Amino acid sequence: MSMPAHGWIRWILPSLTVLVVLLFWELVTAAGVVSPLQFPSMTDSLEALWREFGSERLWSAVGATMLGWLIGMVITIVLGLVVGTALAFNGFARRSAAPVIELFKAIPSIAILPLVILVLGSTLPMKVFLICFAAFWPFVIQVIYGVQSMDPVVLDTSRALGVRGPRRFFWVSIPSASPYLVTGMRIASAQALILSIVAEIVGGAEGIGRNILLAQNSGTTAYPTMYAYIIVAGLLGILLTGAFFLMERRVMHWHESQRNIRASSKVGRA
Amino acid sequence: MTITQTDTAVLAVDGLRKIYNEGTDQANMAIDRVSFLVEKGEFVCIVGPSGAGKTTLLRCISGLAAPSAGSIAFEGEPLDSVPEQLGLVFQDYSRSLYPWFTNGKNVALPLAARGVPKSERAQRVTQALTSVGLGHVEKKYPWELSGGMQQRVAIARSLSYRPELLLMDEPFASVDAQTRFDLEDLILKVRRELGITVVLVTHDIDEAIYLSDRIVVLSKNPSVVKEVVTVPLGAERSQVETRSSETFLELRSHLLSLVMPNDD
Repeated sequence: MSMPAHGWIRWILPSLTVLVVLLFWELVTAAGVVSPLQFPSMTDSLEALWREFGSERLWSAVGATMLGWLIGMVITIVLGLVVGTALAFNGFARRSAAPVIELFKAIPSIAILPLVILVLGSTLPMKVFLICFAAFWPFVIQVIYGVQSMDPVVLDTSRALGVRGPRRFFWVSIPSASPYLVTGMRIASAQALILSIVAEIVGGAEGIGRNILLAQNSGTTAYPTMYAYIIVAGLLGILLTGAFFLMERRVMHWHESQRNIRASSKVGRA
Repeated sequence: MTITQTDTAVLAVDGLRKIYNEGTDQANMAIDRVSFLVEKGEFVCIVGPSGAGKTTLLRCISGLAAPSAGSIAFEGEPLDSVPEQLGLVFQDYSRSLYPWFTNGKNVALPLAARGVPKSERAQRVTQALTSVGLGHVEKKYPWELSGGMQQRVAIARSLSYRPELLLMDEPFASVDAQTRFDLEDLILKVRRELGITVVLVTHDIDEAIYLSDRIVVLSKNPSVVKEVVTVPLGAERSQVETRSSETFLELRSHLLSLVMPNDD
């Protein structure tokens, strides 16, 4: 049986699940199954979250995390597009660069964290470097695939019409590769958020991660605050994923996959 | 061929040869020796059995592929890339029209590439779309139109910059029969109105006779020119009368005997 197409069902069901999980959390802590010292109750954690929402330090932490994410993403995307397109069009350069890309992609960014801290200290540049290192390699590979998978008819058409240079890059190559590019950006965004928080926890840069660590170090009374910041990190992840989903729907409205989604939702409503 | 003929020709193909993967084990000669001339204002169709290097030939004469030997001259100039004054229409409109641009933007693309000022583009786009019988599709996307309409947009796009020569590769092969007749008449009308030279590749002999002034018949792989057939059907043609005329039927059986694979 197909899902009823009512809009409210789509919201009610997930909300109910979240509610059930929260209640289960409360029951587990209230019944004393786990020690409240290690695992504070849901109500305490949410209360701490509420308190933090009203405080300056949460928003400045979110701001610091997002700033690192944003700078890292901009650098990754601009550099990835330029390098990826150049490599896609030049077979010699691509074959030469492939082993280097594969090697760097295989190094977990966390492995170079001590080195980066040593060189740059607990600073924003340290965080940004780490984010770029984690996000750049998977993104540049998507760019190469995207540009290479370009339909030969699309390329012939641009040559026949005399579209070349920067025009061809922005009007033909980028839109044609965009399904790969948006996937690459989504992967890069998730990587960037993870590394941003890791850089804050381990590297001590300002942000949500450092506040998680500070709360942990402030003794058992601050544990609910630590959980509150963990929840904030999760919410941030959901928010970014949602933002990318909306962007994809808007930018890729012409793409077959989006057209199919629209067509099937139309049938569902009828 | 004499020098004067070559001078007036829009397109002069001389001893064209194309070998794919030249110098390797998989070397494959698609075209051996192909020579023909296309005069200004002419409508020339290229036909041949399936597997003959028709599309290869078109890619070479459009400047998209480099020939292995021989020469091609466009308006007396040797060809090394796609000339500005050449329009190209592909068979697969769904891939050659860019789905991320509206029809209007698609048609404006070659205009922008040729430095036509923005203020003039909109008017030229409307003009080109009107000339193929389309109005009010500028703001729509290609995939919102039927196949026949999409191919009209593709034709409008290659007409928008007023090329000297229009090259078409099986342009009506992906549409239904009725639309095909409509598009054939459309291209004849456009050619009459704009005085444009057209070279069209097709596997359909009837279509070739209906449209052409002359037909270049290719042999099967590797292709040579088997015969150049003149079509004395006059300038005015109609789907019902032309296709049932004596001359049409005679040409049809003559061409079929040339193209059928079992007679050589």
